[in-house]
Amino acid sequence: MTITSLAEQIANHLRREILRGKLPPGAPVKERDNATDLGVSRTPMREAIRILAKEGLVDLRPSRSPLVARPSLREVKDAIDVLTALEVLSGQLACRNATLKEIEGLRQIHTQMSDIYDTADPLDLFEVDMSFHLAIAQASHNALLAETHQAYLARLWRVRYLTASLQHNRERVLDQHATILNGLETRAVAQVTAGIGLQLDGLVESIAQVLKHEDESGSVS
Amino acid sequence: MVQMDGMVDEIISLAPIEKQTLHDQVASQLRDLIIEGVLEPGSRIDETALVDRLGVSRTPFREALRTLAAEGLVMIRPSKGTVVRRLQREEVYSMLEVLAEIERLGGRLACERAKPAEISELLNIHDRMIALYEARDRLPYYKLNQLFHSRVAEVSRNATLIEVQANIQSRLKRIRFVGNHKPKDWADAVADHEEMAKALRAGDGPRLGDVMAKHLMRTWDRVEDSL
Repeated sequence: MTITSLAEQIANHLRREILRGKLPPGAPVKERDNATDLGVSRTPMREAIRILAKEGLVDLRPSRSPLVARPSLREVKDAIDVLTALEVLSGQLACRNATLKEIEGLRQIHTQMSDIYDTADPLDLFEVDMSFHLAIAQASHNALLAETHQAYLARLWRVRYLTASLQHNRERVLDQHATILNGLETRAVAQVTAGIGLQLDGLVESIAQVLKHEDESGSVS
Repeated sequence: MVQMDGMVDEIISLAPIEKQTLHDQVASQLRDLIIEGVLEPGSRIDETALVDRLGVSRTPFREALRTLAAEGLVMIRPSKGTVVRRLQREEVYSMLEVLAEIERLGGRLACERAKPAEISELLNIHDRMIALYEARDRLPYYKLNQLFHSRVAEVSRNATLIEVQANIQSRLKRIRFVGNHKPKDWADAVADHEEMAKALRAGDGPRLGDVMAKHLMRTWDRVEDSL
């Protein structure tokens, strides 16, 4: 196995630990301890931490263990404003450029999500949900857009996971995805952008609640 | 880097700041060499020669290359060296398409959030651009133009937006620098900028955003021939 793919696997593992709150905001990510626990050497571990730092999930500190990031509400709001602009553009371009195969792929994600919604592990479900958004950005056929969207979605990964778990609402999420999907199928730009707007609407308020709750429950400082 | 714990850590934690600065300086110099075309698109970066010329060691140099790779200016190919990235037509179009939406949002937020002094500063940059246009002084005009777009993003006070705008603008620097400016294209770009100034004076954010987005999509028409 190459170092890169091993590093990516380690990053995936650590990302899930962060999302599940096993590594809460402010907690140090100890390179040596984690490398020992996972039975890997420190080179891929260091590379994995670099990947997470790029995604904004951990903050690097010179000569010390990195910390799990604790973004402020202001930072999160800023990122959501930009992500909204990117998702709306993705939707507009996907209406024009998505191939039938790509729309079929989105339909499959939607069906899968509907099938597993009530029984799936929340984190698995969340990953399927996000893959729907990533696939729309891919279907825009604008490579830079897909890349930028993915990077900034990654930065919001943790807060979005927490809000998704909080607002576990089957009808709401699946209806919105269906609106977007049907809009793409009929190339109806207004419908697609409206669907995307609904998804991101109210996200800031939910995140404000989540962050407030976290501050009050006093996670690792 | 060796990880250390405890008190020793407190003492040595001051050192890497300087190293960070050095790495930034190297990145900035390399970036200029690429924009100005001293390092040509598609050419291999001669690490030994440049390390020598810049008078730095290999570690900060390689870190700087990684930064430039993240900005999309160079491509690092394992065991084959680093090359200056040559932008394809499709990539430039993609960048302008995304930048247009980012600057649309930036223009809107700038009007909502900029302090009066910041609006004046933007209008001052604009006036200086117009004077340089009238004197047909291309290079300083180009630099002020870049500054105008960066400053609008900055006064939007959205940290993510500032980062994305800077990132895309930096990748497009070389293209916009060599962009084959015909007199009519330049006049059209200036006309767009007059519209921006008008929207800024009126504090009309949505209008400013629309003009900036249109301006960037027209930039495609202006640079298309040079690709």
